[in-house]
Amino acid sequence: MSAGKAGDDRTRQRMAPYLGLRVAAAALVFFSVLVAGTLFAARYGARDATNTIGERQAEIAEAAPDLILLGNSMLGEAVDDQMLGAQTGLSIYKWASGGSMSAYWYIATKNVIAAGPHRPSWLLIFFRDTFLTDPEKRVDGIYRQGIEQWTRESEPLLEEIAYKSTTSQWSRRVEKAWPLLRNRTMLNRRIENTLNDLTAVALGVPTERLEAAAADVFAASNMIPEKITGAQLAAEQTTDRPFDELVEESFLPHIIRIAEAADIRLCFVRVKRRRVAEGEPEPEDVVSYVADLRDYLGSRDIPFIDFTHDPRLTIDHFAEGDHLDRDLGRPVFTQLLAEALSDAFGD
Amino acid sequence: MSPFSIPALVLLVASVAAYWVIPSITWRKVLLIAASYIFCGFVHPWFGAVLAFATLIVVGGVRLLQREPKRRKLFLGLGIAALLLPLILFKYSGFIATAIGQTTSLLFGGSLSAATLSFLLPIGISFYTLQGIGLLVDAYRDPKSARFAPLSIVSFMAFFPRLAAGPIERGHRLIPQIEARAGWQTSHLSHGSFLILAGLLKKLVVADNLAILVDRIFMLQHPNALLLLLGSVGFTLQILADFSGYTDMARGAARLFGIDLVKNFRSPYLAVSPSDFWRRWHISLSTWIRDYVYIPLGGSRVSSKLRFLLVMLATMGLSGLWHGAGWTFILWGLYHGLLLYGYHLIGRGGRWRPKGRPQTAVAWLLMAGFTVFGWFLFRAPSVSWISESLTNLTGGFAGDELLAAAGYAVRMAFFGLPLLGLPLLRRFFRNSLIMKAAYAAVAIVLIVLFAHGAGQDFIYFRF
Repeated sequence: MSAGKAGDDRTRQRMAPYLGLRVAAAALVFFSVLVAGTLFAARYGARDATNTIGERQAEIAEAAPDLILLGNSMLGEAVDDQMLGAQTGLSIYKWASGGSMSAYWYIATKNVIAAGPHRPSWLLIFFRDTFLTDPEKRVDGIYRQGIEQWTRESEPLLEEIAYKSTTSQWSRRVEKAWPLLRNRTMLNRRIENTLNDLTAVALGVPTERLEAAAADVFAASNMIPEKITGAQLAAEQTTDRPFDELVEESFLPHIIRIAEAADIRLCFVRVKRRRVAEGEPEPEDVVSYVADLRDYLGSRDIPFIDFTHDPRLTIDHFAEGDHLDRDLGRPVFTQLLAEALSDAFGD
Repeated sequence: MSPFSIPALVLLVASVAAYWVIPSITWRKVLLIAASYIFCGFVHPWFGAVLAFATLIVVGGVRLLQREPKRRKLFLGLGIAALLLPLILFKYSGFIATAIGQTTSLLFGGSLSAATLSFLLPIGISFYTLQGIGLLVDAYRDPKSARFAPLSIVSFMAFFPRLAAGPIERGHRLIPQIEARAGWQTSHLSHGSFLILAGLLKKLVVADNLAILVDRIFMLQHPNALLLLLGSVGFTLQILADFSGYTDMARGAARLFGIDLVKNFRSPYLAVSPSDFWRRWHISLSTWIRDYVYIPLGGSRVSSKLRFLLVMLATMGLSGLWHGAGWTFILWGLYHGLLLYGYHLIGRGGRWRPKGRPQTAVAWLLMAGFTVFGWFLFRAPSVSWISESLTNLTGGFAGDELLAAAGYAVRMAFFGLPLLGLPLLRRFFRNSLIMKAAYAAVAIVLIVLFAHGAGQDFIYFRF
């Protein structure tokens, strides 16, 4: 037996009479730490303690845009908002959140855009293929963090539609009852912001500069094309279910309802995917889905712009995956969008 | 079945409860086997069949080696070949086909599609194959040492807490524990659940969060020197947290059955030489490689330097190949072979320890650098990427690149910090129940806060 182990055994023997007391003290410490963590989360992770919604609404109000463009990195890489503004004569606010999908667009529309002090005349939502009616796409893990920075205390529709597979009824109840679990997204964000602030202070630069530098260095265009294309393809398989089945259980009708109530006109923009640019035929189910989507939006007088078959966008305009190249693709797409908007909105 | 899933938890709790209720050792073994095959089948229905095939070879091989001592060389060879067959088929066929295809294309302009030879990798195949080979070799060397009941061997091969990613157990160590008539102790529950919690903290908080940062750096086409260094250091922490986290969970789950699995890590990043590193990192694999590859190849008794180098490269190259069917893994293995050889050549191999604190600090620093560079080779997306990155290296110590790296460095340090918790607890508060309780509560708070809903797979599940 080693000296250390023998020492451990001797300590155990010496402490044996006090075992009950030690267990009680350990239990007290255990629950005290948990309670302290919970109180910390309740105090610093509450939604009104972070005010991300208010900050974004203030930013939009300051920009006072005629047009808000909402989408993910497809929008981020494809549209030059300043060029678009110059060509259309409209003021533009581009809200491109990497990896976002329909649950994010719904919550951003409901809680930020439609509920803000400045409501734009038009809201353009950029999407690919069937993702507009795929409410459970990208709603877990880090994507959930992205969504939850725009949520209010209670979001029954989000829970019912987006989280139905990823979060059980039971875990939702625990979440509601336990602030540590309920507020973790906001707390996570606050901690991340604090780390960024500390780094920025240490380097003597504004936090925004730090964030912009990271976004620039890790831009999709700097990544290994095959890696990002493979990851996108793996993560972004379209559904083969028909539109009629999908639409009623999606966020689309709710986005339309909210926009109408806020007097914001909607327009949906379908971007071109790499595989189409490479000459691959579109799957039959996607073709029929898009036809139904077009009818659905048309019957509600909502413009639908589809760039999928625009021959002016070629494979040379793509960077990696479905992203357009910032130098080659972005100016072309922005020009095409400006023309399409002019047609869609009229004069 | 993910170890974090509800079915996995239910399976563990139910089988632990049933295990301690059943008094018969035979029925306990049957229970362990059933639970292990259910676990395997949940991951993929036919994975159990591959495990059953390997088990059949081992049970039959051990029996034949004991009964037919005169033909034991033949039976050992056949047994090892039969065990390696599924591993080669499932893990290496795509890699071999690609290599052949590339060579053919280079020589004759033809090509062979590797896609047609790509299979789903059965869970734990790399681990239970080595475990089975180890038992066969032990039975060959000393038939008496492997006199185990067939049911015990089946439990040994399948034991589900360690099935997915080890540790690689030896028959003489694990089987007697499976066969022992152990009684329930409350320490099984307290130690087991503490280890599981510590493992969850390492995996869900440290490894998964570091992975997000590290993956982005290794996806860059042209990373600068600073980012490359940061990514490599980040991966160094990530792989330790990931793998030792899994091992802690496996050891904790086994402890609930009263079974003590072998320790796989002993502060590997405190190593002062390559030999020291391999005595601390993935100990169950390195001792397996030593006993069943290095020593049989004559590594422990060669006098010629060239022969020693070849043995070292073969041993470590194989170790690299075991980790994955890719050139980067082989390169990593060969690199460690060269390191071991180089240190040996200058009299710093084997059990060498530096004398005095300054020498220890220098030796540690040097080895830490070698280790980080090794993980850079291991994590790199391809060999061509390694060569391009190293030949076109720019500093990155100014402007946006410095700012981006600084932001990542702070976040890596933040998420890497919990890795220090358990070693500090063991060093300063070994017998303090109160500090263990505090650690457990902090671990729960951190897991709730920082675990992602969609956790990443364990790195070693891919091997």
